[in-house]
Amino acid sequence: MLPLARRLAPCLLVVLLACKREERTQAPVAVTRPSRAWLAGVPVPESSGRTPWRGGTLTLRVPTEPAGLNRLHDVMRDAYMTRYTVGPLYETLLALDRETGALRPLLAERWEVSADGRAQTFHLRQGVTFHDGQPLTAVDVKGTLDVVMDRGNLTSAIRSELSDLEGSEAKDAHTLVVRWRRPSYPGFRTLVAAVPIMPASALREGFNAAPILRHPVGTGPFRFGSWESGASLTLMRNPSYWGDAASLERVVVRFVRDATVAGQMFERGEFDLMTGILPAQWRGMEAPEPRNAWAIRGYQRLSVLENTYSFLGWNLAHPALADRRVRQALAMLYPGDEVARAIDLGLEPRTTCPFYSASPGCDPEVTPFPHSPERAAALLEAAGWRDTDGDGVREREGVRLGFSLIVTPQSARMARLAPLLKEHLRKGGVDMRVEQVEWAVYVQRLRARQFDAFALQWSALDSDHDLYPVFHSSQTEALNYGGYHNAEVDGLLEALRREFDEGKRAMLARRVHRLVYEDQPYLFLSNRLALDAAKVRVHGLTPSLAWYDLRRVWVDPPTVAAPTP
Amino acid sequence: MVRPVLRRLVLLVPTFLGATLLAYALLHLPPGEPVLLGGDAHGNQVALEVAGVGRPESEGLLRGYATWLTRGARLELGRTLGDGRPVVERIREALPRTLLLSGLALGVAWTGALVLGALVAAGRGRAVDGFIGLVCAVLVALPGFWVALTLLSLLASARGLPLFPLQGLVSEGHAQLDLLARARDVAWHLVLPVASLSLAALGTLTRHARAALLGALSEGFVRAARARGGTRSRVVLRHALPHALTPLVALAGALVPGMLGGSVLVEHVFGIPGMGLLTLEAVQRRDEALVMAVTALAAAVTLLAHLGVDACLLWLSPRLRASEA
Repeated sequence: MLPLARRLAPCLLVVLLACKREERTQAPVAVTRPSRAWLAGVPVPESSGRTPWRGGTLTLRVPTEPAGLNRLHDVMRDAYMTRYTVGPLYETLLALDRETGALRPLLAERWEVSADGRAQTFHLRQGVTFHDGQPLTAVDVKGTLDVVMDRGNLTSAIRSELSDLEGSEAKDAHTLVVRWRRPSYPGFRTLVAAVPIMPASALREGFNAAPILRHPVGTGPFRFGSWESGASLTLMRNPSYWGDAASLERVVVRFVRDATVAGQMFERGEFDLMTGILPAQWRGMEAPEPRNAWAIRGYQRLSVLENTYSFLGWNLAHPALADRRVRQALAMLYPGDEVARAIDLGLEPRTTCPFYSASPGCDPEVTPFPHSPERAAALLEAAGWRDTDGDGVREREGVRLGFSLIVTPQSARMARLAPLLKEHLRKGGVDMRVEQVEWAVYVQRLRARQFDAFALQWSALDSDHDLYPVFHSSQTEALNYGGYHNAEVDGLLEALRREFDEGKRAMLARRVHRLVYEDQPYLFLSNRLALDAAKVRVHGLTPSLAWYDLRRVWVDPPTVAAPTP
Repeated sequence: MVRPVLRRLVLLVPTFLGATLLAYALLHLPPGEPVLLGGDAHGNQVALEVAGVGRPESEGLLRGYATWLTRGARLELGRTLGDGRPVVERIREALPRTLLLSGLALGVAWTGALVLGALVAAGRGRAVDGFIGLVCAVLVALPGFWVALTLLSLLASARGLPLFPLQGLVSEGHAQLDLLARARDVAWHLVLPVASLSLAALGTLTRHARAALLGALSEGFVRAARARGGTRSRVVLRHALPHALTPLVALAGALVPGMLGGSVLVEHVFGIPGMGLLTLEAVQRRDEALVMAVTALAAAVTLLAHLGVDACLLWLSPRLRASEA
């Protein structure tokens, strides 16, 4: 769309642009070649000895406006909202260390686990107050957990992650005991690192439409300032924060939905931190040309591998797709390199793993099936699929080898990927049809299993996530849409839920990775990179799966204009 | 002139009912269900049950519609699925923005068309006529979102001439400004959205204004006025123009639904949280309460616009008055 606009623009307003062009040629900009770190999206290490300046505003862009500001609420589970509320506004019992991923104290100073692993005792930090001035006590933590577990509340998504939780009890003002029906590692991780603690007093009136959903009250280093519907959210520094106070005075989160418009605002310098840059723009600002000087000199690029993967899911009850050889053949017909180059511009690393690719849960020895039409043909022949009537599509016992892929019109990437895949599958004798289905129908058809194949991506904000609902054979009513069943995987997924030891978890996860990739219930496509950029005046931004630590971010003071002689 | 208007007012009721019934049926006939969550269809099911949303299977289409209508009459429009706030509150927030935007766009298109139409009609057959005719044809043909994005990249982006703001209706810190500065701020933000929304309508209206004016100029009374010694411009302005207004007023009413539809795109591109974006949210989520409220409102606005147009026409045109009496 935009390239066309750019091409036609000169015809329409020749005069205006002519002035602009002239200006540029008169004052040539010295073009700096982007550094390797800049290209890779790694921030340049801070020069030591600079003390953070206290004050200033950080304006950042996010692509979505949330329905509310509470990640426990079913409708408000917006990934960006979680990032700028949990941590800055709300705090959890424990936190995951940004570098090591290990759990460390936050609202709980320390914690103990009972011998049978079914109870944990949390000792809360003293002297922590909510933004409304009330002190944090165990009653607040219990109140928050009760809200989550109440079946009348719109908290079903987080409740399903805590399904093994039995209950909690406030022993005294700063001691909380949490009991489990059985030990659950994913449940524990959700409890300590993903449940924002809210004041119990704000939850008495019911949760589903509580004022706190739009006006959060937490314990974090920032407090809620204002929310201009459709435009922006403002967070203010919490002067009475229990820990090291934040440097920034204000954080303004601007909701700009349209990616093209956001790109133009970014170029005009309206954001200190731009998130969700489109791959085309990311690549477009790399060439060492005068038109890119603003980006190369004025910004640092920030990129990190997200815990997100896209895939095509197969209905394993489909007569052809039920055969593992057919699914493996489809993976070999998938033109991975071409997709990576032409569609993803090299910004979506291929994956074979249902866990976070940078975690020890992925077996580095599992490599993607090579793109090999020959090996695919051999597998399909072995499965009995041959082109007997010479129409280019294989058949078996009079049935053509084909399937229909449902996609939603919202997925711009799938709109480009599907035709390419269709062409390659056709060459391999497989007839793929693409069916566009609006999201409301898509969701319904997934659950009713009315599909041959579907395209989706899973995302998690944590580096460790539970695959039980996705691949366990008992979960066909949950997220195992395709009906995947492998007894060994079932056992491993159950074991993973009970295992707390990191080393052992990695061993179990790697086995799951290997088995699932061999079975191919999904055609695994790729991971996604977060593509962000920040002005060079912004410091303390460290790309991490856990996003940026806004408390540590600071900006240069506004420069005072030098007096002209 | 009162009776014909009253008669039309009475006719509005069945039209409104028909339009909303159709919307209700269209909402309920196709497959699909309300969407609360993004990728999680299972969670969606549980959440829908908790929220008490779902399709009342036993309730028939007509009965369901009757329920909606009786509640709607008491302004009980329910809550949105998205943020759980009352639908009335969301509409009260969004409506003024869209009314401002499309009202201005319509005004600009209409006034512009009148001026251009008069220019063209006065210079019939000359270069100006051909040129403006061509421009109008192009304007009508251009897709709205393309116009909006092109205007943005030419007059707001860093690559073009960054004269206007890219997003929203107000700047940051708008609330701290004094009244005059606030008005100027909003006006500044409105230039590009209003331009995008009005350009296509401007093309259509100008072509009609030209035709109407030319038609009027060939009438006997115009020739008579010229014969009495009126100057060309005086004849166009005093005699032909009032006569040519009738079809233009009628068209303005017909353009109202187009403005409402166009505002979806323009609001999306310029980030203006008005009725357009609200409609988009409603449809994407299959939010029944919101879809119905938005549709009913759009129907009401369209019908009232037509009523207003009819009243204007009756007042403008003696011939129409005579035939109605």
